[in-house]
Amino acid sequence: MNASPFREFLRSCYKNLNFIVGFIMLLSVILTAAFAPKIAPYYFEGGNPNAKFTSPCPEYILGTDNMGRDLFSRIVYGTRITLKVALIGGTIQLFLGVVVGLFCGFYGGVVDRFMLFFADLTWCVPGMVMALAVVTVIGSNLTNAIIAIALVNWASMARTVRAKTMSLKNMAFIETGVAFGESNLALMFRYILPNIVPALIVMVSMSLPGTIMSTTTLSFLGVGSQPPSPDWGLMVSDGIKYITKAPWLAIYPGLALVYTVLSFTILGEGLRDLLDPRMKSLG
Amino acid sequence: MQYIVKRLLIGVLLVICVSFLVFSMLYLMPGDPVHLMAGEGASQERLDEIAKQYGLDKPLMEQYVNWLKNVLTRRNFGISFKYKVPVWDLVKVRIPVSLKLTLVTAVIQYLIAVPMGLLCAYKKDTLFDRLVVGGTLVMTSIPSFWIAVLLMLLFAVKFDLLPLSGFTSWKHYVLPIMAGVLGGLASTTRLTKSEALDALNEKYVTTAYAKGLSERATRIRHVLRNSMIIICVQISQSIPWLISGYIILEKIFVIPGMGGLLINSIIYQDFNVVQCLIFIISIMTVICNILADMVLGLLDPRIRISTGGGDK
Repeated sequence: MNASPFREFLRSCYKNLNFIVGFIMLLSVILTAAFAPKIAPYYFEGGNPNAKFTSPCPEYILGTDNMGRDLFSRIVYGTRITLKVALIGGTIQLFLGVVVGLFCGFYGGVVDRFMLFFADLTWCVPGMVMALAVVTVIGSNLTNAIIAIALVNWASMARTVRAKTMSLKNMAFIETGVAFGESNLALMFRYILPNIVPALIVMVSMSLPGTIMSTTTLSFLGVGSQPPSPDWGLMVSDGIKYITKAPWLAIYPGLALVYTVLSFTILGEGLRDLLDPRMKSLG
Repeated sequence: MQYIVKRLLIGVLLVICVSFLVFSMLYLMPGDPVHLMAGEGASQERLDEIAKQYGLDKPLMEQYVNWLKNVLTRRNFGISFKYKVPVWDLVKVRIPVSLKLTLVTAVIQYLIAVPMGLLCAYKKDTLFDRLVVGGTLVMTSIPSFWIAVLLMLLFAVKFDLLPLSGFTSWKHYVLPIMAGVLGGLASTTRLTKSEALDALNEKYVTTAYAKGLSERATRIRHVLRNSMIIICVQISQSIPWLISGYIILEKIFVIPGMGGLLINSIIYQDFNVVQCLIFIISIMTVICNILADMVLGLLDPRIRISTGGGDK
């Protein structure tokens, strides 16, 4: 019996340590988010006013904050926010990157020049500065912070899609498609797109850590999530105010963030080895 | 020479486009600077008067051209709505602070990261390499604000060696610079390693070994020189990005630099200051990019020829 390609893929997954470790770490994050109300002993709002700044103890595993809220419960609920950032931010970047990259690579010409010039423009101002400017205009909240970061980051994905499209569009199978009378849209989305899916998966998983970190940084700076949201960036920035009195407030939310980002990073490395071994690490 | 002039012209065009983009974005901003300056409950006449005084009643294009003219001829970026002083006076004292921090950070960072990356490439798959690679993987997953928090806890709270925040003595520089160096160390190390590995696999390295050149001479003359090309480009391009990284650190450590001012101006919707700071940062970015291209041309003659429009 011949091993199916899917089985073979699973077998190589099994051999890839990065993939397994990253997958298990990410799974634990997703499960925490899904069962947050079951795991967290308290709700993330409305603390006990008699238990402000309790240091970690059996009742409050990671201690409480300035309003007597249980830090552990807030971190558990914060998982949902971080995954939401990854999901929405990743989707917007992927959508813009694929559509713009495909059109520019396929048609070339004026559209392509304009896009390249626009991409050069975004290179001219550091991403964080640009994102801050965007948030200023559209207002400070989590959704807008996600949009701002996606608007800054999509260009690099579009560039890669464009380059791949340009190298694919002259290949024989596209000529076959043309001979069959396929429309340009069909050529782009049914002929070229499936061929760049592995590269896309790798690109998205490699860009997610950056997306999560930048969005959390915006929250940290006070232009993303607003209180009383249990956003990890916001929690660390509140924690700094009480750093001498209650250091746990700034430590543990950051630790949770590092764990989540690391799970995406390791999974991304594993996926890259599996799907696109020639692609170089982005550093 | 022709190439540099061309690059400079494109750079100027880019800066103008960016400043126009930011100008029109801020023009569309929901918060109205006129209301901000007049204060609560000002009469309509007072609002009109202020709008007229600062030229805020004119159409977008006219406002932008006026702004650009003022900036280019008199370095007049307008008045800060919040501090009620000329923006340039506010900004000019902060530029050296940010630049000093950034340059020191960049130098220290590359002095550590480049040798480490090269060693990793030479000793590929040894324990040292694995430790460094594992370490950099973790480091790239730590946001810079949390590195700053950990350093503050360790050196300022636990051991009480350095001050938490402020900016008066040399001691105040140590923590921000450490946080900045640690923040960029991992990606530079990884880049150096992958560049050096690429160079090690090139045929000219094999040739060098084959003709009997010593290990040391090969590494310095062939591998190091060729991998330095990309690293030099990276260095000159990273300076503006470091400045933007310092936005966060300046806020945490309360340093009176450009980043801290930018954040506060955004929060207070002080849009002349925001406009000015983004203008300056984009000029720096363009200059650094052009410098990077020139360094690249010096180190790698092939590039000079291919992008300069033919071998003349």
